[in-house]
Amino acid sequence: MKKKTLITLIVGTIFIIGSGVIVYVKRPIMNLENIELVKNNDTNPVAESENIEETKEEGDTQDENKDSEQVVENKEVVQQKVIDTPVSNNVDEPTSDPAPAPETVATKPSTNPQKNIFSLQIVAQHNSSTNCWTAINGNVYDITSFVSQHPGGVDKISRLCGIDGTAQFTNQHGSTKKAQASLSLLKIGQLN
Amino acid sequence: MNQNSLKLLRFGYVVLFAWFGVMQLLYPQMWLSYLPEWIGYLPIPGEMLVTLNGWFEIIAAIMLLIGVHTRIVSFLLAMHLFFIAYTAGGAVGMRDFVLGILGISMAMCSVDDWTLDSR
Repeated sequence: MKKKTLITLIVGTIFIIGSGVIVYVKRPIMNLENIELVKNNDTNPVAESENIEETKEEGDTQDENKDSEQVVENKEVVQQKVIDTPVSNNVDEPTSDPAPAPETVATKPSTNPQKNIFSLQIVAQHNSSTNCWTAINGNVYDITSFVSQHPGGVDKISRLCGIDGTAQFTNQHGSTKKAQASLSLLKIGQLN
Repeated sequence: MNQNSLKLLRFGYVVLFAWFGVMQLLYPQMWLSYLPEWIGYLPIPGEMLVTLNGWFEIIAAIMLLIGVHTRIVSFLLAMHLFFIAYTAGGAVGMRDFVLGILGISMAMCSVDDWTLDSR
C-alpha cells in the first residue's frame, strides 16, 4: 500500500472516530440520572408544569384589564412562586415553608442543554451584558455572545439579562420564526 | 507561482484553520451566534455543529500541513469559506470570500516540494 494512501486512511479514520465521539458527547437526550434525582426530591415535573399553567391562567383572568407592564411583573412573580413552592396537587394551598432547592439545580451549564435545570435565582446571577442569561418560555439561554450582534441594539437585549424575558421576547418578536431559530441555538437548559 | 509563495500560502491556510478549529472545539458557545438562523430549524444542537465544524477544520489543516491531497483539501476549504461568506454576509463575509479565493488559487497550482503529494 502506498504511503500516501495509508496516511489518508489514518487521517480519515481519525476524522470519523472524532466526529462520532463529538456526536455522542453532544447528543441532545434527557439525562436519566437527573430525572431520578428529581423524583427523589419529591418533585414531579409533570405536576409542576401543570401547576405553572394553572397559575398562569389564574393570573391572566385576574389581570385582564391591567397594562402590559403589570402582566410582566405578575408573570415573574408567578415564576418565582412556582420555584419557591413545593409541588402539590392543590394549587391554592398556602405554604409557609419554602422548598429546599433540588439537588439537580445546576449552577453552570454542561455541554448538554437537556441536562441543565436552572432556577430563576441562578439565571438572575447572570445579569450583565458580558454574562447574560435569560429565561424564555421555560428554557434558559446564554445570550452573551449574541448581545453585541442583536439587530435591535445592545440596550434592548441587555434588559433581558438575568430575568424571565418571556413577555418581552413575545411582545417584540411574537412568533417570528427567525428569532425563535436564533434563540434555539443559544439554549443551555431549562427553567426549574 | 513559485515554490516559496505556495508554501507560504499553504502554511497560512494551516494556521488559519487550525486556530479557528481549536477555538471552535474548545469554546463552541462563543461561536453559536455566527451560525445562520436556519440551523436553528435542524434537530441538531448548535454546539454539536460548531464542534463538528471545528473538528473538520483541524483535520483539514493537518492534511494541508503534511501535504496529503493538498489541492482537493484546498478546494474543499475554499468552498467551506464561500459558504460561510454567503451565510455570514457583511464584512466577515467579504473577508472569508477573499480567503476562499486564495484557497482556489492554491487548488489551481501544482503542489510545492514540501508536501507528501510531491514525493
